[in-house]
Amino acid sequence: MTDGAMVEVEALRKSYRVGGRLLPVLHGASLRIARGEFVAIMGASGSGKSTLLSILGLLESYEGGRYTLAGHDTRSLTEDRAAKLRNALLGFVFQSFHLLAHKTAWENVALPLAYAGVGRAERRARALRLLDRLGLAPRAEHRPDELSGGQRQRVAIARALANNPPVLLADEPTGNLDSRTSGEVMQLFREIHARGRTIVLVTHEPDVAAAADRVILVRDGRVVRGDATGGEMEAP
Amino acid sequence: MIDLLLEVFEGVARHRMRAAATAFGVFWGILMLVVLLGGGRGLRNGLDKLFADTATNSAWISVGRTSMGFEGLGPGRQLGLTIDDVEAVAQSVPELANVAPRHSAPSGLTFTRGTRNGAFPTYGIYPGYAVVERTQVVRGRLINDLDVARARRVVILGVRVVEALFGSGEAVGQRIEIGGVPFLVVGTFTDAGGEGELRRVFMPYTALAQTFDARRQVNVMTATLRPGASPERATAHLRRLFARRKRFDPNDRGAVDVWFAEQEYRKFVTLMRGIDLAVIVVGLGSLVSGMVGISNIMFVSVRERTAEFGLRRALGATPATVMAMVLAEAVALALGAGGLGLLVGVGLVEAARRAGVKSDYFRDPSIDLGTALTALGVLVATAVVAGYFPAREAARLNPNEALRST
Ligand SMILES: Nc1ncnc2c1ncn2[C@@H]1O[C@H](COP(=O)(O)OP(=O)(O)OP(=O)(O)O)[C@@H](O)[C@H]1O
Ligand SMILES: [Mg+2]
Repeated sequence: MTDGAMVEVEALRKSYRVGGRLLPVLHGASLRIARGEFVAIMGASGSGKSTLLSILGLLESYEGGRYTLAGHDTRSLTEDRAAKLRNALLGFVFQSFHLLAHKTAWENVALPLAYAGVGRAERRARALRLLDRLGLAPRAEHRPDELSGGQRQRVAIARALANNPPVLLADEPTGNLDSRTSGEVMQLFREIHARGRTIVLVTHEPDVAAAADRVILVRDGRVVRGDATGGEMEAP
Repeated sequence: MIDLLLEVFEGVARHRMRAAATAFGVFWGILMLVVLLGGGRGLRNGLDKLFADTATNSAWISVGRTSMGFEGLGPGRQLGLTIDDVEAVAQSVPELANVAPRHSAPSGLTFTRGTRNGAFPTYGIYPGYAVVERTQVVRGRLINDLDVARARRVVILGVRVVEALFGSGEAVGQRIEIGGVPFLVVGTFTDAGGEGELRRVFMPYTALAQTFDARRQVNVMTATLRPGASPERATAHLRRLFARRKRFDPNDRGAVDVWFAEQEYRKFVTLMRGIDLAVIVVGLGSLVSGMVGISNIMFVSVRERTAEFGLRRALGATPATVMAMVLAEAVALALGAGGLGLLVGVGLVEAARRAGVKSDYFRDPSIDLGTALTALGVLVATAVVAGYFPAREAARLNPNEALRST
């Protein structure tokens, strides 16, 4: 199974310094996600889900334990190396979309391509193709404030897919959407998953988690359920 | 590169008011600097020109009115120079050489040569005067000692006088009449002092005195300072000599006026140093305030865009990429505003030069290309320094925390 693992986390420890004191958030979290798996992470507010996802996304350091992403040990990555890996291996989807307000939809989608060194003309062509696939071709030249919430999140998903990364990380991607739009976005995630991508999605909503192959439950900085790959799908 | 530039314009455009204020500050600072540099150059050119036609070791000596009583004589007595004073100075002031009188002929004398005539400022001199004025022979010769000793009726003519009386014909060896008296033209001359000096006519002082009844009067006396001699000591010497000869208080400052080109030149050099210093102060001031302004706006811009930097890092930007982005914005702001200031400044200076703004002390203001390019280079360097700290702040952001800020 190790060969097939995209994400391998063992005894991960992480604390934040808050007002001079150390606040432990993760203490010994372990989990394994296979290549091509669709996993939902659930847990109470403040349990450390977002922190875990940030570490998986190489956006945050950790103090102890091991984390291997697609075979790369992430323990002592330089910032430059981490940036390269993020660009090549990871796509991010956020609750608040994080689209750049002054850029058009296609420009937002093209951002990761710029950091991958793709030329401007090709960036535009690829961004437009992606938007077309997601049904947003008519909105390509619109800025985020001219789009609905669902459209914004679909632009953000297109951006996450732009570099064709094997892993998608999403932190409450439906948190700012109504239930109908939410359903559409989850349908999109299923389609993306069907094309072979590994997806790790943090959510509070059982219906959203239901779209995943497996649910991982985080409580007090530990993975308490669903940490075995290939385990049966568990209801939260 | 193009991408970076596009990013820059978007970044700057988002803070239009603040950017405009900062940009105007930089623009104005550079504009003032350029105008000052150009004006300073104009002043230098003007004063250089002023000194160009006078030997730097020349001295001009004249007497005025007494301001103190002396041995029963009241103050306010008008003093005058005579040719005897000239001889006395030549003999007893060791610091001076080429001592010479200069005395004007009565005004309104008509010069006649055939059918042509005109009126020109005419002076009686000794040969030493030509040394002080840096008179240059064009044809023939200057006035010499023998002319003076024999009171020969000979003249030398400025080139404009030659044109007026002889056209393009040869003047040397010809006779002209001055106030009806015939004079022989022995030479023609030019002078760096400008148009006015080319319309002058010189003759031996003795000839002028005899012909036009100057008695023994002299308007002004010129001389040169011997090498190594002190102008202060020469002045003291002259004061004592004149005080004795003309019977006034040796401490009476206004009675004798002694003007040494060297001393004036030193004042001029001091003035130029002062102007250079002012330019440096203004330049540094505008650079520093521009730097602070740019730094401030970049800090504001970086803080407002924390989430954006977090996002860019998540999408693959390295700290160096983020840093370059912020620095490029700072440089673009400085180059845009400063470059405009430079252009407008050079334009103003050039316009002033074209319009021929000039006086005795000011001519041909200019900015040379080297100075302009140096200013631009300094501006870019300043912007890099100004942008460095905000850029470093942006580059050092923790991407996760940056993403959480909104
Ligand atoms: N950058 C940070 N600095 C300090 N404390 C933090 C930071 N990020 C998270 N925390 C703290 O760590 C704990 C876990 O936060 P985290 O965001 O991972 O929880 P979560 O499970 O995602 O919660 P939620 O469901 O509300 O999003 C919380 O107590 C939070 O206050
Ligand atoms: Mg969270």
